[in-house]
Amino acid sequence: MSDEAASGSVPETEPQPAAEQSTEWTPRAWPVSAIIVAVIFALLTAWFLFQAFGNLINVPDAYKAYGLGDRIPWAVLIAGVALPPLLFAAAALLGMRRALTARVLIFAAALGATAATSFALYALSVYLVTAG
Amino acid sequence: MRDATTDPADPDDEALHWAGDEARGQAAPRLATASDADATAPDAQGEVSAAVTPAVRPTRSRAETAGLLATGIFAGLYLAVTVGWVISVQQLGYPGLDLAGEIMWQFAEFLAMVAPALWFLAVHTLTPEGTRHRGIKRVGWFALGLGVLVPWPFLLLGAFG
Repeated sequence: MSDEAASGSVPETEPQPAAEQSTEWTPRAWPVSAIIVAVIFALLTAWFLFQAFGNLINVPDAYKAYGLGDRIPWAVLIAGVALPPLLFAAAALLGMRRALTARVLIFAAALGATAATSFALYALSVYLVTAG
Repeated sequence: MRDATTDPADPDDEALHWAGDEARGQAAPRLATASDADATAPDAQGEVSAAVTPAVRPTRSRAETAGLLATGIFAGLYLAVTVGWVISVQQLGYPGLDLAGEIMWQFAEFLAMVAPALWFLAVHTLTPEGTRHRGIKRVGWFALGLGVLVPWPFLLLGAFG
């Protein structure tokens, strides 16, 4: 849409250029506003990834120190590292060429799922230690 | 379509009539009369004239009804998952001592509680009206969300722990 048409100064009956009429507007994959939103959610997701890496590095040593070296929950620790970037990437792909509000909602849902799965993995690791 | 002729002498018709409607080809609304009832009654062959058939009330297809039913069922399940997470976060405590970690832990607890609602709204956003195979896609996303958002802390440490 041209600036004149957007401002409403041009009557609707005035013919538009042929090239402008035939060109269908398609949203850009990554406009600046979407990049800013993605960076904000990436930083929040990075916190969960940082925590998961910390667990992957420190938890095995802690288990060994308590004599539980044979019960280190490797699958839980690796899933904790893999899930945050996977959920963020899925949200970024699903939100492409959508309205900014839709992108925010999809990123927020992915971040919520990241938080929920991190708690679920934490509870699972506690359960595996206490139940055994 | 009804015949829109009006009787200028009738005060009801006059109140519903704008000058110049006929010139613009617009039909003025009018009250139903006895002649309308006669017109919509079946004729000798038991058929109603197509010209006076009353407007058909929009009906939902079976697929739309099934979609609405599935959405309602999933809404109930997501509500249950939300309750599960509200209980879950009360059973968890931050294992560290640093302030930043404590703040982020509480933020994550908030996120976990609202995650089912966010996922539900995101599914609605991802499957707008006109999406191909909308019902299947919507049910698939809802089911995936239920699988991802199971409140394991409540199930493992609370209910059965």
